[in-house]
Amino acid sequence: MSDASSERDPVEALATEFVERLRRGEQPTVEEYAAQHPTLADAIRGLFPTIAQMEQLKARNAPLPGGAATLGGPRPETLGDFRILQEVGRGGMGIVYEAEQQSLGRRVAVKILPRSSLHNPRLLNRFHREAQTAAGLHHTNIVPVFGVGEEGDYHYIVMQLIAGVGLDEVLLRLGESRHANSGGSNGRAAVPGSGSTKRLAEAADAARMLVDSNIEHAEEQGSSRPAEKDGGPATGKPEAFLAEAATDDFRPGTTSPGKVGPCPSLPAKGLSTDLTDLLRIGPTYWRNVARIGGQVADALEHAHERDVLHRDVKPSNLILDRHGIAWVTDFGLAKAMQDDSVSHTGDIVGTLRYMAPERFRGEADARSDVYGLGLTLYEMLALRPAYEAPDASSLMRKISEEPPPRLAAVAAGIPQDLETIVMKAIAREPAHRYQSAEEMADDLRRFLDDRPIHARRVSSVEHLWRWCRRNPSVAGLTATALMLLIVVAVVAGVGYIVTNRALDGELVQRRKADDTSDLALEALDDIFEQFAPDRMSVYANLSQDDTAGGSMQATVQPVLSKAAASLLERLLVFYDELAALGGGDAEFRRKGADANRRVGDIRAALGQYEQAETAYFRAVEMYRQIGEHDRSDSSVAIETARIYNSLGELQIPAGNPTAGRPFHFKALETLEQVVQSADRSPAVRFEMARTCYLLGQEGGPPRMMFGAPPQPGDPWDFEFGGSREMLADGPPLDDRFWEPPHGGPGPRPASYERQENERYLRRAIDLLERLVEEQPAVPDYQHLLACCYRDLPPAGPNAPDGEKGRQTDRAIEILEELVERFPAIPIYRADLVETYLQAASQLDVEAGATAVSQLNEALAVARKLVAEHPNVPVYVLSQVQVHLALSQAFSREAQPAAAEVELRKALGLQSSLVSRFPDNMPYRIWEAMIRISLAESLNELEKLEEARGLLETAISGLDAVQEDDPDGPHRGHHRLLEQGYDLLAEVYRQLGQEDLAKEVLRQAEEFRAPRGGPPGLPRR
Amino acid sequence: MEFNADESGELVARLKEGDQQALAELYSRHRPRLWRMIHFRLDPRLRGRVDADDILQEGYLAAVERIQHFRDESSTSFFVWLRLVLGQTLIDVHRRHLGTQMRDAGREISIHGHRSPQATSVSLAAQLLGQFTSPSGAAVRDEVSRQLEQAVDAMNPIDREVLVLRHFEELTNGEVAEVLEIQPKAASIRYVRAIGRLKEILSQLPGFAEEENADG
Repeated sequence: MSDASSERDPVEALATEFVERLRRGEQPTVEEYAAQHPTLADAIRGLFPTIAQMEQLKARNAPLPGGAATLGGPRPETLGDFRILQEVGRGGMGIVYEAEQQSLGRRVAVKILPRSSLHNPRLLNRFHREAQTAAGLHHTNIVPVFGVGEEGDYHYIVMQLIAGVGLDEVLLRLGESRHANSGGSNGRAAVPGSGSTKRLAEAADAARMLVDSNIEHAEEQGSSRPAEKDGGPATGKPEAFLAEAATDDFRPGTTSPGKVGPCPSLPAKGLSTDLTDLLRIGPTYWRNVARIGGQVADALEHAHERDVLHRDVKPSNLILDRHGIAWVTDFGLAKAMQDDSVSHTGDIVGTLRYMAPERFRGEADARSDVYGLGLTLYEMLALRPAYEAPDASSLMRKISEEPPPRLAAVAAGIPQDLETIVMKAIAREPAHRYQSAEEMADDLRRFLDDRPIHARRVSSVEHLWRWCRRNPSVAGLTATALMLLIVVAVVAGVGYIVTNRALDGELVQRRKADDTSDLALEALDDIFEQFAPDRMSVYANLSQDDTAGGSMQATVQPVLSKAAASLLERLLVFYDELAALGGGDAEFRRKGADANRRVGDIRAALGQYEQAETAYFRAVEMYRQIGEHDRSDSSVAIETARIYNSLGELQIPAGNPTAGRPFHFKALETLEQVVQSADRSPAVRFEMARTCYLLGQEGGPPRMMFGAPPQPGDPWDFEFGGSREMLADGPPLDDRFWEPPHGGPGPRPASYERQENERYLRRAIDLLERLVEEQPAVPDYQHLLACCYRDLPPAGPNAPDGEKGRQTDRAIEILEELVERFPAIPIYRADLVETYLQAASQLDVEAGATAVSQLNEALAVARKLVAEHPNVPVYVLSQVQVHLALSQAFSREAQPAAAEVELRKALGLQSSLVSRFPDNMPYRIWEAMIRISLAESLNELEKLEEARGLLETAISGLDAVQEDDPDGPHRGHHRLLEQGYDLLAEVYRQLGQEDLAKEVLRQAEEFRAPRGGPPGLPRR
Repeated sequence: MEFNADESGELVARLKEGDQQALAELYSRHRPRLWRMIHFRLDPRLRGRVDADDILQEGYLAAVERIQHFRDESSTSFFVWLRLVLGQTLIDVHRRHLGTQMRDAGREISIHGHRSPQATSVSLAAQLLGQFTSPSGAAVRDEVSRQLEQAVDAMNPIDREVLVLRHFEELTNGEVAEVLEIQPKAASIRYVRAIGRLKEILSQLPGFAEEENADG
């Protein structure tokens, strides 16, 4: 800026000027500079071409929508017989000028190709050949090609001048009008220099025409077009232009300079505001889209019959004239211009966007053109491109991998048949598309005539099936699921069924539809089960909750693999469709309700709790309606109760276990009503027992880590008081349904809620014992019974010594039998491990050896579980717990070395969990806890240095938890931190680092102070 | 430059006096060039995830926050200061999105030219390759790509940066000098040298020579 020329390299100073002129759109030549500066001529000739190249490169690589070509040289005044008048448009292939053919005195469109584009004779030949072929096409919807020519460095094509505007510009206007209200002209802003306000106005007119008037009539007039065409001088062009004919006052001459380059300036405002009225896009517009589609398909069919492929069907190659006629231009030019590598022009992204997936493999046939037309129609309907990506490679990936979003999801109201036609045209596999443009034209006409179309909606299941086939990694995981999918795909999807039913409404059809959707639902349920290794559909989160203990509630967060989650998302689409079935038909409403319930299950499994809740509520409502129609059907009530219980369980991961209680009460109430109507079927009683079991859990004292009974002041009693407080805020405890089975209050004064929980559990046990007696073969009854026995609140110190033990023994006995009978069901084994743990913890201190042997049994089961289901974190956790319990048993037996080994194993496993689920705070708190325990043990073994390291890591880990999730409840967090500080201080002291010890104690005090807790908690 | 330097000087003067409106005005004037910088320096992995416009917006907020630094610092020109602020924003964006990948991938983006020459060289090669056309397809392209990257990598890092700043970011010689903390004269000489070197590189690669002849 400020530097004087004398201080600069003279060539550089000249280069700066040269570049500035280039950037202003001028055409400075190298020779001009060489001539003016003879002393520097060599350097100028040597360097300036490279400089120009750099500038050109920048313009080309700019990722602008429809990045335009440059001529790479000055615009010629004349080309042969043609006098160039004005630029009317630019595209990736070249620049289009309006020109006068002097010999004939007519106006034509001349497309000049970039000089660099045909540098190779092979390409040049191909260009001539293709242009020749295109010139042989005569169709009302194809822009006639008069010929090709070359002069000097320029190659050009002469075409009829169409008084019209490129569909891409029309779409841009329509899109802008749609976004005008939201004020976002972002992203799809007009290319700077791409249009005069005049042209923008013309595009707006065309857009208005599409929205407001029926272009059908124009099409009828079309038969008399030739005469009109030959008439007055019209200006226009194949790539993007409009009529001058309509506006007499326009004088050609002011060509827009067309500064090419990524200068994100704003599009001409003001016009777009004119267009806000265009927001009323509706049936007229949609029918016009279908009409345009029909015209273009006709044109393509005409060309295809003559073995000419277009290869680049996209909005900018379709011109809409003011009569509503669509003209296809640039036939075959894509091939002529394209190198084998698709990276030739700067317009790559623009061109790729409409390219059929098979084109990336170098294949192209008529169906590829059908695809291009389909995508164009998609964009017209959605008012946004089907695929958008910032660069070529991610765009290619998108096109090859994902279908575009369903139109219904993008814009409301689009007729379903029209969407079906478009989606069929853009199917990824050519075999799934219309096999010819004619077929597509035919269906579009059928749509316009309100006749049934031939295309069939691709059902969600079919989508799923296609998706699975394209994703072999997912498919490979689940051979059985895949087989089921085949079944479902064969019996076809629900959308089809419903449509057909609506069409003929025959009983037979209906019967068939019923069977089909039954089968589909069943198959899908099976698939779902495959992806729910812990059978969450039966017991939901129950097992996880058990294993994890009260302080580990976050473990009920979904733990699905990415592939499983992805498959579930896909299933969801199908279920959603089923769920929408509702309607007037009772049977279908039932299926809809079932599907809604399952949607809730899946949402819950995916961690989408709010959506799960919505689906559950919808299901409850649907069941309620069904129940009103048919009161005799108790299965409806059972389903309803089941959903209420699911809703209740949903509250656990949401952070407040007591919030689930009202739902479980509601479930109980529902079931009570059924029982009153004298239905005492096993299903009702089982669900009732399950409800009682859940009520016996929720809000109760958290289960202890080692299964040890909670003692106030026990360091592992994670904020025991917390749950009491929560209960106080919860709903009033309700014992309407309760009559004490054994009469009288419990043997010792326990907290009210603990009594409450125990009473519900005992009621569940009563129900289940009877069920097991009636139907000993049903494993679910026994399983739940075992869980109830195990989860009975711990007997107090005054209880008869053996009582608690007997309950646990009974649980173990049942579970061992279940494991033996059903070795494939992991949840039985997981519960067995948990129960072993509990049993070991109840043993007297003297029975250490027995505890160790029992725990070793638990370890064997847990190890196997983890080996078979490495992706289920809950199982890993249970193994961690076994190790911890073993370490405790060993230290009780005064075997510190063995205890240390177990702690190290526990830490290793836990750390692996943390690294897999870094966002799970409880996992991290556990990890810190194990570190502290290990440090404690090392402290006793006087391995002070390592203990210090562990403690420091643990404390900083706990700090990080607080930092990463400051709002979380973090049970046990404070207690652990206190303990960590205390222990660290002691270790420092033993290491002779008194100062550090004091500092740590000071921190601990500071940390304790705001809590108001008693200082100096007993250290274990 | 795209706007009147005097007017710009006046705006900067107003800015220094505390006029916030002047900052907005100046920012929008420099926006096209800042956009270029982002376009060139944004990691390809982030395209599609982050939008240049969003970064520009974030950069503006950062500039508002830190404007006092500019007021206190008289030696830096406004554009260079702004570019620095935006560069920091860009680094933050990369950290946020790429996290640890950024460290091990050794692809720290370079804003100041000499900090991380590697990044510039890869981006530059990619830009150069954008125009490359070879009839024989992907294999040749890959090979050329490799050669090009090597050749560009072998260039003097500052020369390379000069090319990028002059052409892709459209900086003036004076601004280049300021960014690279060298004398304007040195910047000027380096530019000429770099163009010469680039010419050599391109002439040795198949597929580029023709292109060059085709240009006026």
